[in-house]
Amino acid sequence: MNSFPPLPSLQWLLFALSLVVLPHLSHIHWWVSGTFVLLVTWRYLYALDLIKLPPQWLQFALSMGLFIGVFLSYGTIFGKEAGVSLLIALLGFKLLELQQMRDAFILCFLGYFLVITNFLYSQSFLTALYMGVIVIIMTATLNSLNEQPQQFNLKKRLYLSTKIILQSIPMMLVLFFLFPRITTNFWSLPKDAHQGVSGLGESMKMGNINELSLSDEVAFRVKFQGKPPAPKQLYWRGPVLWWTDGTEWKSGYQQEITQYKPVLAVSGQSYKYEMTLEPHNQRWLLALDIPQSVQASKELRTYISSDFQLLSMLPIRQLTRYTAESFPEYKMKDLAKVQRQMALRLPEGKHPKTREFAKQWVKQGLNPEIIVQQALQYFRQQAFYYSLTPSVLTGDSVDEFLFKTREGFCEHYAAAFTVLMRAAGIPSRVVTGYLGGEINEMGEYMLVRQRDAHAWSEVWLDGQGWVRVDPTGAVAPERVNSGIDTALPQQYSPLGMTLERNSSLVQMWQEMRRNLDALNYGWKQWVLGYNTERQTQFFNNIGLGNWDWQQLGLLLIALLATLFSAVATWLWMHASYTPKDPAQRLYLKLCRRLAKHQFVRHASEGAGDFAIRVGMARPDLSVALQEITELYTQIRYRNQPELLPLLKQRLREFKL
Amino acid sequence: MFTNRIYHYLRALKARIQFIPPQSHVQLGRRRIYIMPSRYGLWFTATLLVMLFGAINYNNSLAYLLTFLLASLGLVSILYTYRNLAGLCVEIGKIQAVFVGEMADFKILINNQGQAARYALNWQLAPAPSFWKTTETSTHTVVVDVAENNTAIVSIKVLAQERGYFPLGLVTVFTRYPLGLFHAWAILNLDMKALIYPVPLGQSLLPASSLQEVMGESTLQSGSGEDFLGYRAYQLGDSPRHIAWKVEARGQGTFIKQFGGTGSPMLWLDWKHVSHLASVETSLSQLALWVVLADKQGACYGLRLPDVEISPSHGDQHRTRCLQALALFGKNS
Repeated sequence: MNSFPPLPSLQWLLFALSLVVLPHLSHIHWWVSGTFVLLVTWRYLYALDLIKLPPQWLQFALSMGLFIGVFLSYGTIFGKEAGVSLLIALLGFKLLELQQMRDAFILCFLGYFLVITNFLYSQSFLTALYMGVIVIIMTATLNSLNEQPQQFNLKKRLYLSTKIILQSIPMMLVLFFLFPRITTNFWSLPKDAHQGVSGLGESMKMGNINELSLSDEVAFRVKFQGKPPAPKQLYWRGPVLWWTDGTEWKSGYQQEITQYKPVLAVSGQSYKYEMTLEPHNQRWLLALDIPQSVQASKELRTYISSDFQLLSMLPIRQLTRYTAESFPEYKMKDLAKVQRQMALRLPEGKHPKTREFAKQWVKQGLNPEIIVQQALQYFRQQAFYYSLTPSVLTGDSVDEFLFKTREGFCEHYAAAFTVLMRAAGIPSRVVTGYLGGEINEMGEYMLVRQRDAHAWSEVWLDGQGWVRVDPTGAVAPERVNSGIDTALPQQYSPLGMTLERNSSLVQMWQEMRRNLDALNYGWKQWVLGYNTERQTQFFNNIGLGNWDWQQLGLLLIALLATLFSAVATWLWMHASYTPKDPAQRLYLKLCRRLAKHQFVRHASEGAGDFAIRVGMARPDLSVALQEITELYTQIRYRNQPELLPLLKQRLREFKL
Repeated sequence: MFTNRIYHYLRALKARIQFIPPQSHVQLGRRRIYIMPSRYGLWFTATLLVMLFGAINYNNSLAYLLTFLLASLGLVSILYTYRNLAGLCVEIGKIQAVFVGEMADFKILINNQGQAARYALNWQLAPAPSFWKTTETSTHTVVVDVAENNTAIVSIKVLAQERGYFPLGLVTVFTRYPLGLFHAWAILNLDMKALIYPVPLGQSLLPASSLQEVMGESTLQSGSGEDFLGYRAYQLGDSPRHIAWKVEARGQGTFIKQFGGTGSPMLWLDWKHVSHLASVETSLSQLALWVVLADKQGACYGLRLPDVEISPSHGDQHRTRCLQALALFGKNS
C-alpha cells in the first residue's frame, strides 16, 4: 500500500521540500512550521511502515482547520505571508495524499513554486545560490520518478540534473535579457508585499537613527563620473524636517512650504553620479547636497522639492537607478514668509531652559552668523559626548540633553541645535540623510550603508540662503571627516568574535566584504535591477534600439533555436560509441559504410557470419570482405597488432 | 479550424503507422520517433505560466530567472527524452513454440550502440500512441534499461489463444525519461510470429489399433522399451535425454544410448482414429496429446493426416515436426 513512491525518491522529495520551506520559517507563524514538520515526519514514518495515515475525514477536517487557522493568524488568506503559510501547510497535507505518480509530480511542481515565493523575501546572491541547489535536488527527484526504482544512484542522478540545468542556462539568459519586461500588476499587490525594508524614517525621534547605525545593510551605491568629492562633502540629502512637537520631528508637505522655492545659484565644481537605491518603501530619493538636476525613469516622476529633496510620486519598492548632478557650493535668496514662519515655529511652553539660554545671545545683539558659532562653541566647550548608547531622556528631551545628560547621537545634536536656533530667532530645520561612504575599488563605486545615516541642521542666513551646520562635527569631528567607523565602538564583533577594530583580521574581513559587495553590486546592476528601462538601455547599447517587438520576438526565437540545436549537437556528439581498440574502431567504421548500402549487421551476428551474408548478396565484395574480417579477428581476438597497417590498407582499397 | 488540422495530422499519422512493413531489424531514426508533451508536461507549463505572471506582477528579477530556467530545463529535457530512443537497434529474437493456453514469449533484442545508457524504455503491445495517458504503466508493459554500448532482451509474453502462426503485431516502445515532461514513442512492426500448437486434450490412452498394425513387421525395435541395446553415434535431432554423458565426459565423443526390445511399439497416430470426434479442433487436440504422450514414452511414432504423412521416428525434432503439422493443419500459409 505504501510502496509508492520508492523510499529513496520519497526521502529526496521530503529533503528538497524541507530545504525550500526552511528560509520561510522566520516569517511564517510557528504553528504553520510545526504542522509542516509534523506532516513530513508522519509521511516518512508511514513510508517506513511504522504508523498509519490519519483517516480521510480527519485529513479533510484538518485542512479546513488550516484555512481557518491562517485566517485567524493573518486576518486574511490572501497576501504574501498568509499565502505562503497556506501553501506550506497544504504542501504538508498533499504529502499525506501522496499515493500515485500524479501526486508526486504535483509535489515537485509545488516545490518549484515555493522556490519562487522565497524570492519575495530575499533576492540576494546567496539566496539565489541556495535556491539553485534546491532546484538541482528537485530536478533529481523528478528524475527519480521516471526511472526504475531499483536503479537509484544518487551521484549519477545529481550529476544528470546538474548537467541538464547547466545546459539550460544559456537559453535562460537569452530569455531573461530579451523577454519583454512589462511593468503591470495583474492583481493588486498585497498590502504586506513591501514590508520589512529598512531605511530612514519619515520622522525623527531622538534614538531612531541609532537603530540604523548598527545596521550593515546597504542603503545605496553611487558611481561618480570622475573623482568623488572629499569625505567631508559627502552629505547625502534625505527628508527635510520642519515641524516639531518637542520630541518628534516631521517633514512638512504642507502647501505653504511646497509652494515657494528659494532661488538657487550654484557655483564651483559639480558632481555627476549614478545612484542605485535599495528599496525603502518611501517616496524620497537621496542626493548629494545640494542637487540641481535629476534623471530617473518616467513613471517615477521625480522632482526636486522646494526644500531641495529629491522626491518621487511613487514609493521606491524596487531597486531604483537614477542619475543626478549636485553642487556643494551654492547660494540662495528669497525665503518666503510662510516658510520663514514655519522655520521659526516652536511648540508652546516647551524647552523653557533652552529658550532662555538662546535669549542671552539675542539680548547681546549678536548677528546670526555669530550666534551659530556661539552655539557650536557651546557644544565644543561643554562636556558633550558622542555616544551610541546615550541615557534615556525622560522629561523635556531638548532641555535635558543640553543641560543634563549631554551625551547623544547625531539626531540629538541636530534637534537640540535647531531648537536653539529657532529660539534665537534664526530660521532653521533638520535634515536627515547619510554621511560618508566607502569606496569599493573592485567595482569602482561608493557604497553607503544604513549605519551611515546622519542628521544635521540647516539655518537660513540672509545673503547665503540655507547653510548646512553639522553640530555633531563640533563634538566628534572624526565622524564627519572619516566616517562612522571611527565613531563606532572600538570593539568590533563580526560573526560573534570580538576583535580590535584595526587588527589585521578585521581588515581582512573588511576586504572580503568589499569583494563580496562588488559581486553584489554587479548582481544588482545586471540581475535584480534589470527592468524595463535597463532593458531599453541594453537594447540601445547593442544596437537594437529601433527594433520593434516583432523583430525582437523573432530574434528571441532564433537565438533559442540556435542554442537548442547547440545543446542537441553537443548531446549527439557524445552519443555514438567509440571503442578504444583501433581495430574495432576501424571495423565499426566499415560497418557504418556497409549500413548505408542496406547491409546492417545484426546484434546477434558475428563478424564472420556478416561477411558471408554480405558476400552472398554482393559476390564482388566477398573476397575482400573475407580478408578484412579475417585480419580484424586476428588482431582483435588473436592479439596480433602488427597486422593493423595491413588492415588499414585493405580498408582503403575496399570500394563499395 | 486548428483542431481540424490536428485531426487530419493524427489521421495521416495513423495511416503511416499502419503501413509500416514487418521488419526483422529496425533502427529507431527520426522518421520513427514521435514526441509530445506528456500530461505532466502540460501541468508543468501551467505552473510556469503562473510563475511568470507572478514574476511580472511583483517585477521580481529572480522570479523571472527561475521561471526561464525551468522553461529552458523543459526544452532541454525534450532532447534527453528523444535521445533516449534515438538510434536504438531493435531485432527479433527467438520464439519458442507453445501450446494454446500457454504464454507465447516474444524475445526482442535491443542493441544500444550509443555512448549514453538508455533508461526506462517501456515496451507494450500497441494500442494507439497514448502520450496523453499518464496512468501508471499497465501490467503488460515491460520496462528495461540498456547500458551504453550494450544489449538487452525484452520479452513480451502474450497468451496463445489459437493454434497456428501467431504474429506479434504492432509494438510500442515509449519513454518519459528523464523528467517525465515529454513522451517519446515509436511504433514497430516486427516480423515475429510464434507457432502455437493445439492444446493437448482427450483420451490419454494411445490408440490400440495403431499397435496391431505394426506387430508383425518388427522384431527388434530401437527407440522404445527398457532394455539397453548399445551405443550409436549421435545424430542431429536426437534427444539430449539419451546422450551418454558419461562417455562424453571421458572425451570419447558423443553417443546415444539405445534402448529397446522386442515388441517395442511403433505407432501410427492416424486421422482415422480421431475422425469420429466432434470437431477438427478436438481431433487435433487428441492427436497432439498422443504425440506428447508417445514422445514421453520414447515410442517410435508416425503421424497421418489427410494431407500430410510423417513417417515413424522419434526425438525432439520429430516431435516438433508432428506438432507443427497439427498446428498448421488446414491453415494455408
